[in-house]
This record gives sequence, C-alpha cells and structure tokens, in this order.
Amino acid sequence: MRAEALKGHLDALLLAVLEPGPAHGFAVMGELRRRTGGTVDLESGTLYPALRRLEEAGLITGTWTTGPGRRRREYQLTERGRRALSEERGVWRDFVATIGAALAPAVTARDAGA
Amino acid sequence: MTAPGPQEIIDSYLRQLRSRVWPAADRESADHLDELRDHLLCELEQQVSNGAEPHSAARRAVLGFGRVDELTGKLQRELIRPHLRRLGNVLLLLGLGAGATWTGVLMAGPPEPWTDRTEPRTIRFFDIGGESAATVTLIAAALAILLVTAPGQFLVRSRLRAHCQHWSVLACATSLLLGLATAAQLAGYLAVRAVLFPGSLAWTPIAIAGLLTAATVPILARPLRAVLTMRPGHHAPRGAH
Repeated sequence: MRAEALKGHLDALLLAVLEPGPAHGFAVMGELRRRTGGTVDLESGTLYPALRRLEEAGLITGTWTTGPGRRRREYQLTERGRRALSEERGVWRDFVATIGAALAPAVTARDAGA
Repeated sequence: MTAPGPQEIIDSYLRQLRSRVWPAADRESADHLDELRDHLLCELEQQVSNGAEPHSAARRAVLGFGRVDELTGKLQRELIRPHLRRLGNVLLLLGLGAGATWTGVLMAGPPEPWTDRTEPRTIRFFDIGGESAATVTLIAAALAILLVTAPGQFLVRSRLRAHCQHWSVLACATSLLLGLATAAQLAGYLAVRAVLFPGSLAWTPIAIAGLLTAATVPILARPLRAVLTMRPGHHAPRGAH
C-alpha cells in the first residue's frame, strides 16, 4: 500500500504503533508492516518526515539512546499524543460505521422474507 | 581494487544524502544522519540474520531506503521548518536590537539642528522611509515565526500547514529585504546629515553601533544559508560537501 492511500491515516497509524512503548524508526516500520500483514510498507522518505511532524506537534517525543554500538533515536507518545490517538480511533469507528452502512448491499423485501 | 564493505556502502549513500539535504553540516544534520544510519544498519543486520550475504544486504538496504533524489525533497520539506523558525527569530531579535541601538545612538548624540518646518526634504525622506521599512521588517519577521510555529502545533495534517510554511519563507524574505532597505535608509540619513550639517553627529558611538550591526551578519548568515539551501525547488549540486 502506497503513502497516497494512507493519506489522512498515517499519523494515527504511527501513534497506534507507538502506543505500547518507545520505538525507533526501523522498529515502527517493522511493527506497522507486521500489524497489517505486510500490506502497509512505509517508505523511509514518508516515515521520518511524519515522525518529525508529530514531534513538532507535541504528539510524540524523541530521545537519544544507545543502540548496538551506535546512537539511536526512540520515539514515544506524549499525553497529548494519547488523547489524539483516542480521538482518531473514535473518528475512524464513526467513519467505518457510516461508510459501512452506506456500502452494505441493500436488503430487499424478498431477501428479508427469505 | 577491493570492493567496499557493507558499512562503506551505507556510509557512501549517507554522504550523498548529506551533500544534497544538508549542504551546511551542523549538529542537527549529524543527528538526522545518525538516525538514518541506525535505520540502514538495522535493515542490514536483519537481512544478514535472515541469511543474506552482507554486501548484497547493504546494497538492498540502500536501494530500499530510496533514491537520493526522491528523498531529498521529502526530507527538506520537513527539515527546513526549524531553520525557518530560527531565521524568523534572528530577524526579529536583530531587528529589535539594531533598532534600539541606533535609536539610542541618535537620541544620545547632538540634537537635530532643524525644526519640523525646516527639516530638509532628503532627511525627511530617509527618516520616514527608514522608520516604515524598520516597522515592516519587524512585523514580517514576527509573522514568519507565527506562520511556521502555530500550524505545526495545531494543523498537524492540514494542507494549510504547507501553505503557511511557504508564506513564512516569503515573510522572512520580505523581512530580510526591508531590513537591508532600513540599513540603506539609515546610511543615507547619516550621509545627508553629515553633508548638510557637519558636526551634528557623534561619530564615535555611530562607529561602534555600525561595528555592532556588522557583527550580527554571521548570526543571520547561518539560518539564512540553511533556509536558502533547503527551500523548495533548490537542490545542492551533486557531490557537494
């Protein structure tokens, strides 16, 4: 799935991946791939600018840690980020319910009687 | 001739990326590169642990990360923002500082040897022109900061955020050009006053204020250079370091 298809949902996906605890960029990418069964395979050129944007907005915070012999930047949700994720979930549930109802095959009187 | 090692393949790729995205090497660019290097090394390690040969794993990691040309624009669009904010802050603070310094120098010097009715036209032109340019310089700098800061906090996904970033660049350019116009107006004012009313200016404080003003140029140059090299549509030459 390409970045265009994720437009509008990428931030919520990243926040959801970071919800359990801190993770670095590569781990975020891998976790997103794992959760979506490989369907969402983000490009680095999409991931890192998005992490910067979320950090600037105060939804996540980045800290430097020491990885295996090198510096590593890990990100974690802020309180504001948790609230934003909760709101995004609510909006998504409403969206799915509304569009799902509209797209569901119409039940005719004959179907109902069958 | 020996083939480059896996880490050398990654470092060479990052050098290319650095020369395109961050032509001016600084602490911030080093941090970003460290993060990207960690990502590439993670990818390399994962592929090697899955049985790949290290050289081909490094090449695949780099290929999968993206072409330098494609990444440059995507990264710069986001990474320009702190430099833009810094440039706006510097323009505002230097504008306020220079304004206070020069106002103080002129007010503490000899009184103006004219009245409102006898003020020479050329001096009035430079006086009004300088004050107007200085005012707009400060307003534009404040606007540039606001345009790049507020949307980053409240319009995380809105397209307006990108538009505001573009307008912030324009506001910085306006502030910079009018700052230069203010300096030119001030120089004109001093020159005309020195010619028409010799001895009506205290040159020692003026020279000190001039030196102080000139000393601020390097402070302005750094964020300005970063914004100029990262602005949309600008790409550093290939292989530049």
